[in-house]
Amino acid sequence: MIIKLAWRNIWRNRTRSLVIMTAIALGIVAALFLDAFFMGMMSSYVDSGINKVTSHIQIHAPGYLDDENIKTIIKSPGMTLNAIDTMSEVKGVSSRILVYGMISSSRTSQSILVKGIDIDRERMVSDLEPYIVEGQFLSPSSRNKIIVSSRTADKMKVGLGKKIVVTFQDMEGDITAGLFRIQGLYDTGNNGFDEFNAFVKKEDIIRTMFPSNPPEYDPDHEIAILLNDKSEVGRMQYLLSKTYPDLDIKTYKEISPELSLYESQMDTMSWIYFIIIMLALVFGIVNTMLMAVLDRYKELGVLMSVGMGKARVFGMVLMETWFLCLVAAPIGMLLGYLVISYFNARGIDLSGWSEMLEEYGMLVFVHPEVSSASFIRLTIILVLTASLAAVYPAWKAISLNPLDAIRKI
Amino acid sequence: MPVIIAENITKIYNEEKIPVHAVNGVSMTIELGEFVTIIGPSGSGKSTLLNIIGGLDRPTTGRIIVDDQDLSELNDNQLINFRKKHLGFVFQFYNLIPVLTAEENMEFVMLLQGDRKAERKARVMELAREIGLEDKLATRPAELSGGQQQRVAVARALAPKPKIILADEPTANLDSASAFKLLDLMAKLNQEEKTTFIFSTHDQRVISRARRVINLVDGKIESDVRQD
Repeated sequence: MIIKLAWRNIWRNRTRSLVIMTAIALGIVAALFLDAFFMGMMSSYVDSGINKVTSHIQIHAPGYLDDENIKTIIKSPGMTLNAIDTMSEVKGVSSRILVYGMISSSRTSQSILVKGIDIDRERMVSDLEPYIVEGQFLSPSSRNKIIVSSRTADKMKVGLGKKIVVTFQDMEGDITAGLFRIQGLYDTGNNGFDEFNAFVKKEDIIRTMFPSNPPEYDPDHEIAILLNDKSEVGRMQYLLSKTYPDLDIKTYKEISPELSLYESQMDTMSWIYFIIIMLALVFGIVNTMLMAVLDRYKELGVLMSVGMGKARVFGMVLMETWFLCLVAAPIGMLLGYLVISYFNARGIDLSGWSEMLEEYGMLVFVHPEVSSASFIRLTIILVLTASLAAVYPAWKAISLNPLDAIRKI
Repeated sequence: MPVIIAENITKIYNEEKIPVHAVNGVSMTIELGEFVTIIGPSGSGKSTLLNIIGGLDRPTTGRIIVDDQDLSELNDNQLINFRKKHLGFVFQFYNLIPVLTAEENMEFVMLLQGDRKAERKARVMELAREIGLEDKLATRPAELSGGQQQRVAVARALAPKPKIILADEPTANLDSASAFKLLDLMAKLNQEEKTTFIFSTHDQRVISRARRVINLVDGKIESDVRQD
C-alpha cells in the first residue's frame, strides 16, 4: 500500500512531476552523451596509439627498451613469430627492425625512427596504409623506398620521388648511411607520431645495416601483436611470458603508460561528470519533493495520527523520489542511447580544433561510444542522487507535529 | 471496565507569555462501550481534551491512562504505534487520503497493522455494508459526498476494531440527513462491536443521541450527565 500510495502521490501534481522527470531525463541524456563523447575521444586516442604505435603486445629482447640499442635483437624471431601467429587470440603479428638515426635532404635533416617492416605482416597489425595521402605504400617489388609523413616531407622540403639519406649507427658501432627514395607520404593526424616515424622494407634496412655480411636471420628488435579482443591483453601477456621466459613481453599499457593513464583518467572523469550533473539535479528534485511534502502537510499529519510511523512516512517520501527517477531514468537512458548511436554512426566533426587535437594525437572525427559500465555507473549515481534528494523533504515530513498539521487549513 | 482514566489533566498554552488554560484540572473515567459526548462552547477545551486522550497532544500536568497504558510513558514513535493499535480517529473534515479509493482508505490502518489481505477484505466488505457504500468502494474521496466521505472515515477508524473511537466534530460539515445517518451508524456499531465512542461537538443532533454528556466550560468539567 505504501508503494501504491507513493506511486499515486507522484501523479497528484502531474505537471510538476513531469517537469522534474523531464529535467532528470535530460540530465541523464547530457551525462551519457558527455561520457560517450569523451569515451569516444579516449578510444580514438588509445586505438590510434595501439594501431599505429604499440599494438596490443610488444616483444623485445630483454633490456632493449632500456637503451634501445641496435645490437639488442630478438634471437630466432622467425620461430617465435610463426608460433604466435597460430594462436587463436592473435589477429596479426609482425616483426620490425628499429633504427634510430637522422634523415637528411639537400636542405635539412632531422632525427627519425626508421622501422624496417615486413609489408604483408605489418598490414595485419598496423593501419598505416590507409593514411597514405600521396604516392603509394611500400610494395614487394620496391627497392630502397621509404615512406615518410607529409609533415616530415614539408619540413625537409622534399616530395614524392625525392631522395633522402638515412644515417645511423650500425651493429659494429660505426656510422652508416643509406639512400632512399620517397615512395609515399602519410598523414595519420597524430603530429607526434608523424614527425618521428618513417617506414622502409626490412630487407632494405638490413642491407644498410650489414652491407657485406647479412645475418642468417632477421635482426628484429620488436615483435608486435594485435589481438582480436583488447580485453585479452593481460591474459595473453601472462601466457606469452610463460612460453617465452627469455623475452621481454609488454602490453600497450606498459609500453605507452600515457595510454593507460588516459584510460583510467577517463574512467574517473566519467564518474565526475555524472556526479556533477546529478548534483545539479539534486536541487531540482529537493525543490519538487519539498513542495510535494508541504502541499500534503495536513494529510501527512492525518497519516501519522492514524498510526503511520515515521519510518514509513520517510520511506514513502523516499519512494516517491525514487519513482520520479525510475520513470525518468529509462526514458533518459533510451534517449541518450539513441542520440549517442546517431552521433556514433555520423561522427562529430571537430576539424575546427584539428591542430590542437592532432597535437595530442587525437582524431578530428569523434565517434561517441557508450559502454554498459556507463549505464551501471549512472544507475548507481541516480539511486544515490534520488536518496540524497529525498532526505531533506522526508526529514521535513517526519518532523511535523501531527496535531499542528491536522489543524492546518 | 474503564478504558480511559484522566487524572487532573491540565493543558496550558503559551506558558511563558500569556498562559491560556485550555484544560484545567479535568478528571474523569470512561468505561468500555460508552457513547460519550464532550460539549461546550468554542474555546472550552473540547478538542484539546480529545487530542490529549488520543495521544496527539500531551498534558502540561496530570496523567492520562488509555486502555491501561499511561500515555506520558510513551515517546512519539510509541504513541504513533499506540494510536494505530488502540484508537480510531474521525476528523471534522474527513481527512481521507485523496489518492486512495474508499476501500483502500478503509483498510489503510489494518494494513499498517500488518493484517492479512483476506482479513482486510472481509472487514472492509462488512463495514461497507454497514455504512451502505458497497457500490462506492472503488471510488476516490473527491467523487463522494461529504456524508459519504465521513462514513468512509468512520469505517477507516473502525476497521482495525479499536476499543476507542475519538471523533472531533464529526457532523459539523454534514447536512441533517447525513448527520443522522452517521449517528445511527455509530450508535449501531457502538452496540454491536462494543466500541467506545467519544465525540467533541456542539451539535445538538449528536448531543441528543449520546448516553453521557460531559460539559466543559473554560477547561473545567461543569457537568457530567448520563442520559439513558
